[in-house]
Amino acid sequence: MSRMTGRCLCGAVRFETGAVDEVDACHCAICRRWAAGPYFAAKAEGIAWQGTAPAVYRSSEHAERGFCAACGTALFYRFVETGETLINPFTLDGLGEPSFGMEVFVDEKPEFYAFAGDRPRRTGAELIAEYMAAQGEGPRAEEESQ
Amino acid sequence: MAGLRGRCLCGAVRFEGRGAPGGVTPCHCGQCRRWSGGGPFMPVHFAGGVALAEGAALAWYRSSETGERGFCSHCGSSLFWRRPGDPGDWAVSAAALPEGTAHRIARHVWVDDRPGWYDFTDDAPRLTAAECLREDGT
Repeated sequence: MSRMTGRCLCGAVRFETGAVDEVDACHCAICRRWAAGPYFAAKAEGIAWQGTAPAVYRSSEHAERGFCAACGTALFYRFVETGETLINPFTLDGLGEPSFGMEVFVDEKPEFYAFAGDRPRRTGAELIAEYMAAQGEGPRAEEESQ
Repeated sequence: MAGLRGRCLCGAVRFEGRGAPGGVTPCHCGQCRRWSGGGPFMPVHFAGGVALAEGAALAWYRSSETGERGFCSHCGSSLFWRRPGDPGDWAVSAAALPEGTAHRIARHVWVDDRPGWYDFTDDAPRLTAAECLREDGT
């Protein structure tokens, strides 16, 4: 599989990752507060970081968020237990036209905006139920650290 | 004096927006999308500007000749865009404000930078980069 390269706005943090061809969007209040809008997320496998290491903020019991300490670019959301990483797809060079796969936490989406097009849309409860069914156990609801 | 209070995710940066907030102006430029991770950066402006209540963790990054971006150095929340050194007329992330503060999109900007794979359903005006720059007189 071909690899892709990415970087933050200032270029201090760079990385390589497996190819990304699908992007999801999360409307939860925590993602929006962090990302100044719905957080676009792409599952990235085999990330190799280069340059300055990202700063990491533990945003809940089960997840942390990475950003560039020099320019503030939002880089990733990562599950602490599994290491599964959802990167900000706009940091990728040559992202092209991925498919817009799913919208999640639509029950927390403010009414003033909506994305055009048809795709699966999940509430937070639906997403967590699907995750539990897939894992055989449940993640804890994300809570703000303060 | 009491304004609308906003904060980053961890609460280290706190501020107050003064006067009425305007509509949301999503910016689809490549810099905003890369920086915020939110697709477009979705800010509002306040008629009376912004004042910091707690700003020790606020960091600024000069992203171009005409702009700099403010973020929380502790949690990484994307918060502000301003002309370099502007004391208070800042573009403020709508999601940093209490839910319900932002209730309409005023217009979309830099839409010619928007990738084709996402779009919004609203019919707010859509301005290209050239139209935005012409309007700013720069």
